This record gives sequence, C-alpha cells and structure tokens, in this order.
Amino acid sequence: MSTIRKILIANRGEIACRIVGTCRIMGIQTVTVFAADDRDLPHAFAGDQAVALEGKTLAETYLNHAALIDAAKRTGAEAIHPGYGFLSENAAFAKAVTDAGLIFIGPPADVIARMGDKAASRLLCQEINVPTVPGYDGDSSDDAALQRAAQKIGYPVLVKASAGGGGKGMRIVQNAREFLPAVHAARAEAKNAFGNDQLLIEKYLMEPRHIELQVFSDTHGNHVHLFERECSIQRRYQKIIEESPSPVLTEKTRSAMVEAALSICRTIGYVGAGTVEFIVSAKGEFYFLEMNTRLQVEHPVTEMITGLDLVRWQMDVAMGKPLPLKQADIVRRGHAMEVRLYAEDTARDFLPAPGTLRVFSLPQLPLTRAENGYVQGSEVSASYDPMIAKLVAWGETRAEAIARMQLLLSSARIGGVKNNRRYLQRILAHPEFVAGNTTTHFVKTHAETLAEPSRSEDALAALAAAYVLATSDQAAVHTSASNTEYSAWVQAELAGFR
Amino acid sequence: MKKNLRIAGQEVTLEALQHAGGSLRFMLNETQYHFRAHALPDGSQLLEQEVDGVLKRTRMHAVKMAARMKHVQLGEDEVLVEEMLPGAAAQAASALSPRSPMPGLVRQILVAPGDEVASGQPIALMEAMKLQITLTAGGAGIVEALLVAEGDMIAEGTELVRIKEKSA
Repeated sequence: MSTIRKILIANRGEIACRIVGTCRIMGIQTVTVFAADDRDLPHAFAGDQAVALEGKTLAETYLNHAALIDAAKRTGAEAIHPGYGFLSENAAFAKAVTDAGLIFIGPPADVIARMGDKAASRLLCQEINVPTVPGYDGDSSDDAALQRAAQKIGYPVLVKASAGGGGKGMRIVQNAREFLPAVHAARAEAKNAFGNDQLLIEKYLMEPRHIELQVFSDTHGNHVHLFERECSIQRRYQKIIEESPSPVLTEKTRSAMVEAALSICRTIGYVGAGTVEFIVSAKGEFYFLEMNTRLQVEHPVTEMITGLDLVRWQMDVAMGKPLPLKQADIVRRGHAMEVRLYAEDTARDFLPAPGTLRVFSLPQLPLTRAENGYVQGSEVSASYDPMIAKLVAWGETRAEAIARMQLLLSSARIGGVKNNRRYLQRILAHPEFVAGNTTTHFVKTHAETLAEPSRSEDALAALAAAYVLATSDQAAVHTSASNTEYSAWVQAELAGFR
Repeated sequence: MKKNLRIAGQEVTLEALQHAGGSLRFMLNETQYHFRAHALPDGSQLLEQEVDGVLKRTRMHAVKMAARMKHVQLGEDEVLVEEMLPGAAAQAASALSPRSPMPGLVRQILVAPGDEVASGQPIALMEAMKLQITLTAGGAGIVEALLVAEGDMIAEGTELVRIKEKSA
C-alpha cells in the first residue's frame, strides 16, 4: 500500500477541475498542466501548482508523454491521473509512467492494451461466452459464402462495404429473398465508391440502445459494478444525454449484463474504474461493444444515484486499498441524467462552433451538478473538444430528473457561441424521450420534430423589442458580419469521431 | 421609422410608432405591440408586455457582438439579432467560391491557381474540434486565387479560394 500525497492531472477543462475537487477533499495536492492557449482557463490555476506545456500541437502538449512525466517529476507528484480522452487509454503512456517510478491512476498498461485492441477484445468475449454482435468478415466475399453467413447470423442483417463509411455500399436486408439483390447492389456501390467490392455482414439490431455497465476493481481481486447507464441519445456517434437507470432494462437482462461485465473484469484482471459498453436490442439481446479502461465523461450520473465519488475510489485503488464497499452495500436511489452542452450548430448537422463565451453562467440548483472548465470570456477553442459543460440532475423519478434538467437548462446562459442548449431542451420535452423510447437512432428518427421551430410573430416582436430596449454590455471581440451567411453548397463530409 | 431586423435567420420589419424612455410601440405586419423595459435593483432588466390588463414580465439581457448585432436573451430564448441597413441587401458572394462554415484550421488546400474545377469537387479540408470537413466548389470554374494558407486559423464565413466562372 502506498500513500499518494500529490498527483499530476494530465488533462484539461472540466475533468481536470473535477479531479482537483476530490483531491482537495482527500487532502491530496494537485498539479495541473496547460497549453499556452489554455493559460486563462480555470484548470490552469485550479490546482496547487501548474506547469505550462510548451508547444502548439496536441502532440507537443497534452499528448506529450515525456513532458507530462517530466512535469510530475519536477513537482514531486507521485501519481498521474489521465482523466478521460487524451492519454487515458494509451498503454504506452501508462507503461512510461510506471517505468518512471510513478503511479498511473488507471489499469495496468497490458490491460489497457488488451481491451484497446477491438478485435482481440471481441475474441476474448467470445472465449468467455460474452455475446458480441454476430458478424461475418471472411476472406471469401462471394454470393454463396455471404448467403451462408447471413443465414447463420439470422435476419435482419446489415451488408456493408469492408472499406466503407458514410452509408455507401450499405444495405439492411430483412429476409433471405431480398439478400442477393441487395448484395449485388451493395457490391457495385462499394466498387464505385471505394474501388473495393469486399463486403461484410453484421446482425442488424432493431431499435438498438447503448447501455453500459460501470465496473470497479481493486488490486486485491475484488470486482463490483455500479449499475448501468443508458447513453442511447447520440449525435454523430457521440453521446449527448446519459441516464441511469435505463428506462427499459429488465432486471433479468441487467443481471445478465452485470455477469458478463464482471466476467470480463475477472478474466483480464481488471484494476480501477472501467466501463463495459453493450448494444441492446429491443428484444433485450445484448452484445459487447467495447470496454473503456478509464473514467467516463458521464460518471457523475452514477455518482448521483449511488452517492459515491468515483474519483475517490480511483485514488483508493491506486493506493492499493481494497474497494471501499462490497457489492451488497452499493445501492442506488432515484434517477440521474446528464446532458452535454456542446459548442455546435444543431441546425447545420452539429457543425462545431468554436468562439468566445461572451455570456456564460450555469445555475447552481439543489440536486444538480454543473461541471465545466470555462468562465465568462473564455474561448472555446477550435483546437479542442466542443464540450462546454455537463449538467447533471437527480430526481426521485425519471420525470423529476427530466424536469429538474429542464430547469437547469432554462436557467443556463450561453452567449457568443452557438450551442445545443435549446436542442437538448427539445429532446427532453419530446414525447418519445419522455416515454423512454430512446434508441441510438433517436436524433435521426426525430430530426424533423427536433428541428428548431420557427418563432411566432409575437415571439419575434418580443425579441425585436428586447433588441431595441435592452441596455447591452460589452463590445465585440471577433464576429464577422457575414457569419450568418451559410450556403447550402458547402458539403460537410463528417468524419466519425468519438 | 422602419427597422429591419434579422432574428435567427427570420427577417422582420418594425414600423416604430413611438420610442421614448423605456417604452416602445411598433407595428409588425398588421399588429401593434407595446413593450416596456423595467430595471431591477441589481441592474438587470425585464421586458414587460401588457396584454388585456395582464403583464407578461420576462428577463432580458443583451450583449453587443458587433455594430448592429446583439446576442439577445429573453426568458429561455436566446438568439442573435442583426439590424440590416436599408438597401444593404445580403452580400452576393460568388456562389462558386467555398467559404468556411465554421471557425477553424485550414488543414489542406487541394487546388492551385489556374486549376479547372468541377461542381462539387473538393477544394479544401478544414478542421475544428476533432471534426474534419471537406469544402467543395459550388459550380464548375477556374481557381483564380487562394485566399488562405494551410495552417491558417480562419473565422466563419471566410472565403478560402476564389473560383470564377469559366469565360465562354
């Protein structure tokens, strides 16, 4: 068992500030790091000490293994917390930290590497009977081989181009009769789009949901779960609303998923905070997607329903202590929900919208959390993630959590940066969301009803009056007069990112 | 006096009847409106509207973003409001030249001056917040000039490459 008196946080923004908060409570000193363009953000002065990272690119700053380890050494930090994103799932970094005689707050490097290899982690699951999405990506892509594979997987199936992306060469096939024509069309399309007509097949899940299990393991072989989070509401494969409990999971499915998640932990000798992500069908079939070997963005949802501090648990595990609670003592109460406020243009396919937060205030309300790494006047830079803040609300029931979240969102003030505040409010008010009909297709399925409604004449009149009558603060810094012009011919090819 | 405003993309014309102190009366289309500004002790403001003897009181706040452009918050709503000068029709940009749809980094320029380009041809790659987008030509033409360089951080609405129509 080793005592940690001081840590370096190798991250930025809200998560760096959030980790500092727990360390304060535990009496642990903190060192934060910052790139030159982040020098005025709260995380750059949230800790007891701060180290400036030289350079302009991410590789020179927040992803610079040597500079971060050197900063820890220089400040006498005994451990490095990687937060999420950046180096949190980088096995080479975890190893370098350990090799430098420091503690990496996360799983051992070999465990990170093992779960980071998506194909290998799928194989591991298959070995221990954890279901993975049935699929076929064999060498032979001829009609007969594909047809056999589809039969084995069971309809409906998804036919995809191996080289694919953007939906080209992709077909949903409902039954055997439609299979070959779809394959021929997909093959031609794939050949045309990618110069490669290799196809693969996957089971197509109707109304899929993204549901993940929070797990925790210590160095003494104890493995527990802290319930699930449903994160089906996504745009561009990125979560925007997360909640727990899932509005639909049955106790039977939940316990089967818990057993699957914990058997993965036991098999790989997991240590620390982890999340096992599953895709769950409308029928309650669940399939392993991947394991995130770190703290998640949405961990506050779990904290709100369990009353536990997951960063504190991480610190305890890193110090070699056993997990603070046994499974039977981990209970949850009520419902919690998180929304991610993003600097983006929801009317233009969620295009990033960096800029300066000319107006920025988040409300403090009972039973809620507002976590952010910005203050009024901060720049949400194009160089980093578009997340401005996360808002978290608790309620005895899901309806109460939604209502409290609406209150939070309606009291938040964000000006100068296009953002998804109103869009999130429309999702929360959507009858299908309220009914718990949350699938990963939600944003696409309901695109029309989620679009910004045009304002009534009375509303426009009131806004016009406010424009004329309100005394306004501050002068402009940078906004070009032409920035509301948007031409439809700009074709955004959206590269998927996580 | 007329005032042309663009409110989150919707254009409205107010015909001001009376504007004195914190009181404003105007016509919008066929309807007459009357609003008052009311200052609270902390300096913040309410917008008051009286309809049939009942007051609607809503918090309002405005931040000046540029000359004749304010970010207006009214209750839960917040929008960018722009005032358009009479006669200043929307600037007619070349429909061929790509402009940045967002602020960000110019990652790569895929054409050179003198190049002949087809409609929809990728012209440049931009990047912001982990997202890469491809800007394409609005129509067939000739690349006249590169207006930005690779590695530049540019504002939204910046013309990246000027493309002119191919002279017949």
